[in-house]
Amino acid sequence: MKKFVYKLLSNIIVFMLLLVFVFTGVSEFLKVKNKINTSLEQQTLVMGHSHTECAYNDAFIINTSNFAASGESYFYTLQKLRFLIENVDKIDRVFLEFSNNQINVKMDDWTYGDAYMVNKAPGFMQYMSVEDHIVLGKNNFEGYFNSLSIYLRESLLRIVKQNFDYSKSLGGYLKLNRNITEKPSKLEEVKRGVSDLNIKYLKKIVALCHEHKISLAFIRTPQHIQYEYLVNEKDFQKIRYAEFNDVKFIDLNDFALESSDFADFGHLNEQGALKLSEYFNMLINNE
Amino acid sequence: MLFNSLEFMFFLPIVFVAYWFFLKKTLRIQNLLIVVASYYFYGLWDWRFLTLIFFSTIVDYSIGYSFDYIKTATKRKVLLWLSILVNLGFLGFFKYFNFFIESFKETYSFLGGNPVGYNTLQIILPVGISFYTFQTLSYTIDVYKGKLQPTKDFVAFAAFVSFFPQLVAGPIERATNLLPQFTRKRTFDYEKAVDGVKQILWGFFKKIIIADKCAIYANIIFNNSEEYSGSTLLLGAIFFSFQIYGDFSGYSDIAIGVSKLFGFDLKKNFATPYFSRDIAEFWRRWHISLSTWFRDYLYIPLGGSRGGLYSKIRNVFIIFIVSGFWHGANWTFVVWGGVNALYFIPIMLLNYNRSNTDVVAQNKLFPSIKEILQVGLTFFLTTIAWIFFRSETISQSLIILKKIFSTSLFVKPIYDKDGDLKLMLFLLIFFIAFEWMGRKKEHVLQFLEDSYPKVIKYLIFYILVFMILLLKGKSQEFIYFQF
Repeated sequence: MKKFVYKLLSNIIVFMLLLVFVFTGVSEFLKVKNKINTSLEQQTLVMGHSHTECAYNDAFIINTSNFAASGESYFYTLQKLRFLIENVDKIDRVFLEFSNNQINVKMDDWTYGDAYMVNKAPGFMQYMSVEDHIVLGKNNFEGYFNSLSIYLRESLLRIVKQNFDYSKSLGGYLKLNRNITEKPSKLEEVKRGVSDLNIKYLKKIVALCHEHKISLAFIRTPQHIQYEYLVNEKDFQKIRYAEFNDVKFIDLNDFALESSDFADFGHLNEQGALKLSEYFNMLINNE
Repeated sequence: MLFNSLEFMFFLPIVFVAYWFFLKKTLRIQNLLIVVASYYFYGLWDWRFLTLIFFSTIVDYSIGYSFDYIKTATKRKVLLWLSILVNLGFLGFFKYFNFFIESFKETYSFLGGNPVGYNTLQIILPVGISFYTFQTLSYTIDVYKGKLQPTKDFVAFAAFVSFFPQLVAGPIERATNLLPQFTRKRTFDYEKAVDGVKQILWGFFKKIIIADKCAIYANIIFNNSEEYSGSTLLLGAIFFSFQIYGDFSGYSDIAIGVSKLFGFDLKKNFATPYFSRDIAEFWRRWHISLSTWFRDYLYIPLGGSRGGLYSKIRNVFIIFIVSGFWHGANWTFVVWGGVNALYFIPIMLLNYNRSNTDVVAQNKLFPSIKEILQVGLTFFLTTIAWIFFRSETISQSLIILKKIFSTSLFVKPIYDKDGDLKLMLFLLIFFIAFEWMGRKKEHVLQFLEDSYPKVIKYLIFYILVFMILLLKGKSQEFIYFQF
């Protein structure tokens, strides 16, 4: 019986070592090969989740690229920023969404919940630190395991197909054509509580920008007055002043918009995005 | 608890270590561990239904025990019927109550009545009830018939009823085979344990790579059947054929492999059924534990293939329709059983049902043209029958069949999700090749033991594990849990 246990364990260990070897090899290879199409010398980045993704049409903002993506918590924004710092010639400024729902406990789910993790983590695994891997594995081992499996599968496929364009994994402006006045959005049930994890990773982003001498500013994209997450405004302001007082905060929440500029309570539609983008262009490029 | 879950990855080594390292000296304690582990395994799904298993255990143990003392034929018969009524009563209530109410209401309305007051209940179907009910019934019937001595060891009997590897989806073990293994001292057998691990590996491959991947295609095609051409629907039915085989035989392989780790031998449940040359052979190779159960406890008592033409045909219909009904409380399963009976009867009447009792291409590497055609036709017929099994309603099945047997069968299938279809076809070819190589063995990976160097064997095992990890998707429940 001891022989059986010994042989089984030794095979498992050999296999795990092989897996680590493949993972590291694939990750390092892709880190070298992954590229993004950008020719700008001075680059301004806009990052965040879906509010940002739908609000800033970078076609109207000079020297700026929108890299926001739906359902993205700061955990994944950090990985994305690590990639961008390595691959964009010079990042001048980063405007990062910091708004009410991003301090809410639901961001934990956006980081390691089943649906979000298998969707987000495989795209960024090669840029994660050991600590990041532990965060995911500790909170949702099965989801982490599935993400690892998807990451390896997709990475090997990319290597086989010689597809190293990473642009598609980075997000970008998303045009929404719907209108809140035509189809009112449903209110989401707001869970109480603060996501310490998201705040922790926001601090890591602040530190990373500082380390690379990148100017960082927080932006709060306009939210509809009926937006359900505005209930935590008090907590939001408290955290902003207590934790991030030294980071510039551009609050666009009161930017004059009509209800018809919103796709739903949290997102601007194409018309709203155009108004905001023109204003934002003027704001950041005429400072 | 699912075999393909994280919990099971921890559960199995813990029980294994406790069983062989700490409790190996006392058989009774080992059996007790199996009972506790099995109840925990089942209770993770819904602990309330443990009472059903426990009650069933007590009833059958007591009735079996009393057969030793009661010699009067009438009293013995009453006790036997009590066991049958209790077991089938539970099964009938939890699985078929709503079905009968619905069917009664529909018939009553059809005849012009107004079925007010006959309401269905919100009943949860206890996982595995069809399996352990049949297993305990086999004990009582065999003891009644004198084929088996009743056990006095309650713990051993409780372990036999609840043995976790096969509790929720079989194989349905006969008391004559499994129960004595609980009363014999078990010693660790290295070769058996290694073989068990290989069988578990192949079971996981079948479940995670073949069944779960085919399920993606089969589900989309069947759930949107009205949108697809006959060719795409046939493709969907083929995917379902592989899904159900990979799912159920994969579960059986894992169950048998896990049992080997604990020193038990379970009966083979699948013998590469898709390489059958006729329907009779298919049914000797598919879900063997259920087919033989029905054969021994229903078909033979009904008279089997003896008697006149009418009784022969009647018995075949009864066994197939009951078997279909066992799978689920829906008319689609009944029709599925009926279709298989229709396939079987001509073969039986022509005395052809015992003409293919060996393995296809017994002493050859490749089959003959005739065998290819026979295997292809049998696979096609079973695939057509699976359409009834998979469809939500009989009318959906008929619409799908109408499309398949129309000119749209010759249209190029349109379904290809993100180009993964090529990968899926490659996996199926790989799978069929392995199944073919291992068709004469107890389980597929045993073919590697014949003449392959150790390096190749290890390479194949590592590749299989790598494929399972790399290609796995979200864990899916085993289909047969619902039965």
